[in-house]
Amino acid sequence: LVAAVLLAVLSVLGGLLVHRAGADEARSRVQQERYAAVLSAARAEADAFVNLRYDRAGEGLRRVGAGATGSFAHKYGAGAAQVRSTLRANHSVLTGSVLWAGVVSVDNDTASVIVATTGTVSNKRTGGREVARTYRLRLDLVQRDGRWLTSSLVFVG
Amino acid sequence: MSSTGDRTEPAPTSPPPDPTSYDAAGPGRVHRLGSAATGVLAVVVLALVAVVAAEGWYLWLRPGPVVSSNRPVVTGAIASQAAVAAARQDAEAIFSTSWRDYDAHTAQVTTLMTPTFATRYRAQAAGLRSAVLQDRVITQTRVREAGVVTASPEAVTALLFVDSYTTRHGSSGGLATRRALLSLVRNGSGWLVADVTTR
Repeated sequence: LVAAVLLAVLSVLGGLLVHRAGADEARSRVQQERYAAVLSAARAEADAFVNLRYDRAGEGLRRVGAGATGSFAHKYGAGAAQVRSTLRANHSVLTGSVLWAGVVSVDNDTASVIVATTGTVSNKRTGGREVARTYRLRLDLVQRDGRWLTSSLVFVG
Repeated sequence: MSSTGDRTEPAPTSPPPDPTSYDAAGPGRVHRLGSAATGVLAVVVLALVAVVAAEGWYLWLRPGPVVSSNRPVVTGAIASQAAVAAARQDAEAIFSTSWRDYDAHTAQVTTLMTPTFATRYRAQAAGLRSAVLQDRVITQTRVREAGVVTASPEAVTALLFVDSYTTRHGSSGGLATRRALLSLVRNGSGWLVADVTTR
């Protein structure tokens, strides 16, 4: 009878610990899945940024703008005409892909991600030849209505 | 007592209690109730043992989450940041070399590596040794940015943006900007570099 009482007490205490562990795990899962979300958003935006063609500039810039917000979206929204004209004037063709991406920091609403890309560029300056181009990018992202959008994209060095 | 000649008949005794009778009193009934209660108690104890065992498994023995595309980081933020900080520190040590203490540097930085990676590094360092000494090459490396790619309690992959400034015979050899992917594995309370890829 004593053993039964002790076991009953242990099972109640264990139940409380299990409940708390489950709540902690649910919170951890949300935080950990956030890393995947910001990496995915940053990779998509960087991919759009390194794939621009002078003859399909509107389509490429719309793709960049779709994943952007704030001043960065403004540059590729309202300022897109200037970027488009520069691409056309130089007959620029950028092709690339994301090599690696890593999260520098992330919280509920903001994140910073660094992205390494690889690819080529051809323009009037290269004589139309494809020249290898690798970039080191840092993207700052914010969460808007459940989506991670890029608010800033800068070249690192 | 009646007697018939020399024979004596025993006195009549009360009949034994009927074991099927509810009204039967005595030690038999108590024994049956005690057996039933003990059986129930045993079942309850077994059930509680099973519950406590299940709770113990959930709390201490259940396998933790594994790295996946949906969960690239399965440790806490502080743990992954500490690992990335270790990667940054190790990269600066490994990629900063000098002709003056080339061999000592190789011996020192290989203590930051797993045995397998250290063997590869020593082979690579040996191949570059004569050129470094001949040209009196000094390379100073700084990590500009660092981020976590994947992280688990046992292994971390970190992306680093690395700037290396080189001099040859005291003259500037230029600045090289690279991207490096470092893989680290847990070693006690610290980390060891298991692989480095630069592009």
